[in-house]
Amino acid sequence: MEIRDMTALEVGEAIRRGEISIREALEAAWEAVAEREDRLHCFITLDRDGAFSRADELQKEIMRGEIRSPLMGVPFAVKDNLCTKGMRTTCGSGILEHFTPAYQATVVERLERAGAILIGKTNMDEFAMGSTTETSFFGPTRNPWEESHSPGGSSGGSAAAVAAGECFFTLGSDTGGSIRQPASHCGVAGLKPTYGLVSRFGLVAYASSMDQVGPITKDFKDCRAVLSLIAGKDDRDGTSWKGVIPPAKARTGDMTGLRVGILTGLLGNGTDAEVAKTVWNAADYLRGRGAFVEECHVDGLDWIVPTYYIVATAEASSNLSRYDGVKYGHRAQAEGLEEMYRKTRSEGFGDEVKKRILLGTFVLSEGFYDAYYLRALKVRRLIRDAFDRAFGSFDVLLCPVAPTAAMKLGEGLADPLRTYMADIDTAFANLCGLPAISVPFGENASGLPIGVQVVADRFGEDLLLWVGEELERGSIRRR
Amino acid sequence: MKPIVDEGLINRMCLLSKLGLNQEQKERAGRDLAQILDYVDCLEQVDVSGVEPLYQVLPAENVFRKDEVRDGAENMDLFLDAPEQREGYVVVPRTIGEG
Repeated sequence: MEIRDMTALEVGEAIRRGEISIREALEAAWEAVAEREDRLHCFITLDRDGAFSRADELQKEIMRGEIRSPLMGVPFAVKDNLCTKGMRTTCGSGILEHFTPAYQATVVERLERAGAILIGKTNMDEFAMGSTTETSFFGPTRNPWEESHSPGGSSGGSAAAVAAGECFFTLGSDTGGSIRQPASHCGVAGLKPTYGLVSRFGLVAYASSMDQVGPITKDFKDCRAVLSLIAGKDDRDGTSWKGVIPPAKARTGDMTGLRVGILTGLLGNGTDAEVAKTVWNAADYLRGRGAFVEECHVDGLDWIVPTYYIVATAEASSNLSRYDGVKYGHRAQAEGLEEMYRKTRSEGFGDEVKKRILLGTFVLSEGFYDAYYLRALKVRRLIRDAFDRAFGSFDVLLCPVAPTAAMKLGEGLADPLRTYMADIDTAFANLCGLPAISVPFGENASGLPIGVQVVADRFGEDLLLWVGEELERGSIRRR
Repeated sequence: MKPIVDEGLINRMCLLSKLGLNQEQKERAGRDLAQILDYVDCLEQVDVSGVEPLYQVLPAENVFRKDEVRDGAENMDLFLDAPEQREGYVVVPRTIGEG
């Protein structure tokens, strides 16, 4: 097998066994970069020299028999909203075009400690605000399966880089679907963990009550391996969960006893027939493996997107107030301080970011706070309660990741409200803090991948990843 | 109780969020805001009487620790990204006597 076709765990094993060197693993990634990066634009920053010098250090450890983890020596990349000490972190924004953090995000620190090799930073919608990677200040990423199409977003660079073999796994962030939707559009595995399971320290904040970092990988074994390295309590994130992560249960392929609920409320109007068919096929597959599969009705699905956009933009307007040109980032030339703030932010932010700041400012402003923000938080509780009730009857829920396969570049920007509405399939997991995966399972008539989403109750990652591993065996897109 | 999205409202939001928009951007922002508010209007019909707002999905508790420096960034490293600095201070435009 060609190195670039291997999974992250396969590469790690080949390195440990001495079948390939870490340099060879890096060369394989760079070969793919050389072939495709000019067209795809998965990366904002690549660090070839740093990666190779790190490879040589780690190779020496391996020669001495010092093994750090199953992913030692494996090249990876992270979304450009994760702070990397000494490596530029732009968040896809002009306002941070030249920002080089003085500290490392916890997740990056943990992966580096495990011996994985950071090769660069992936492209994203500006401040993770978008679903197509087209709002990036640095220009769009293209879908590796069909270059005229978007890879999805906002972690589009992370998903496309894995699909194109430019690295073996990546990290993305997911505030309303930003890991799962691009994973679906690029035919790779993606996990948004339970809120609090993975540290957000060093993740540039968008909507702090919903942001989570998670893996994008070639399969769910890899996903499990990456999660086990990044998850767990971090003193530097006050919302990080202090509980103990239970070890994976030993399981067979027999799914007898697993209760699967199909969220039929998300299969109706606006959902492509091919997407709905993929979900039904996945349901049939699970049923064939012994699972109990039934339709599941959850109230209030129409409230998801309005609630999500009010909460997310409110938190964003507050979080993004820090970009004022004082301590870091772009600074506009101006006479007085007020004018400097205003000019800096007006020059530095793109249109989508400004739009969300204005909406968030509005819902928090005097006279509108109760009617919009506070009301949305109350509806958020109703949504969470409705999903909690669903998990009383089901172990996992099955639904689409997005109403359609990947859009053509330009289509999403042309109809922003429709693009927002597509978040209905994913944003509920963020509002409720639930873990959810996107499993590559089907494809549309033109061969574009279609994922299915599986959602579990909070901290149900072990079960969820097992379902992912079983489902991907039934995918028509098996590698 | 739908608010009227007019230029006055947009100007107020720009002031609060410290964003300067030109006339064309303001008009577009007004259209966008009106469209989104129209869309989120359905929440007004939801019966939320007696429902507490949900700020966080996990029970939030205060986290205390000793006030000790731990792996903090070096003081001067934090200045490397400052647009303008002098002798360990960040320089900003004049703040007194403005306007």
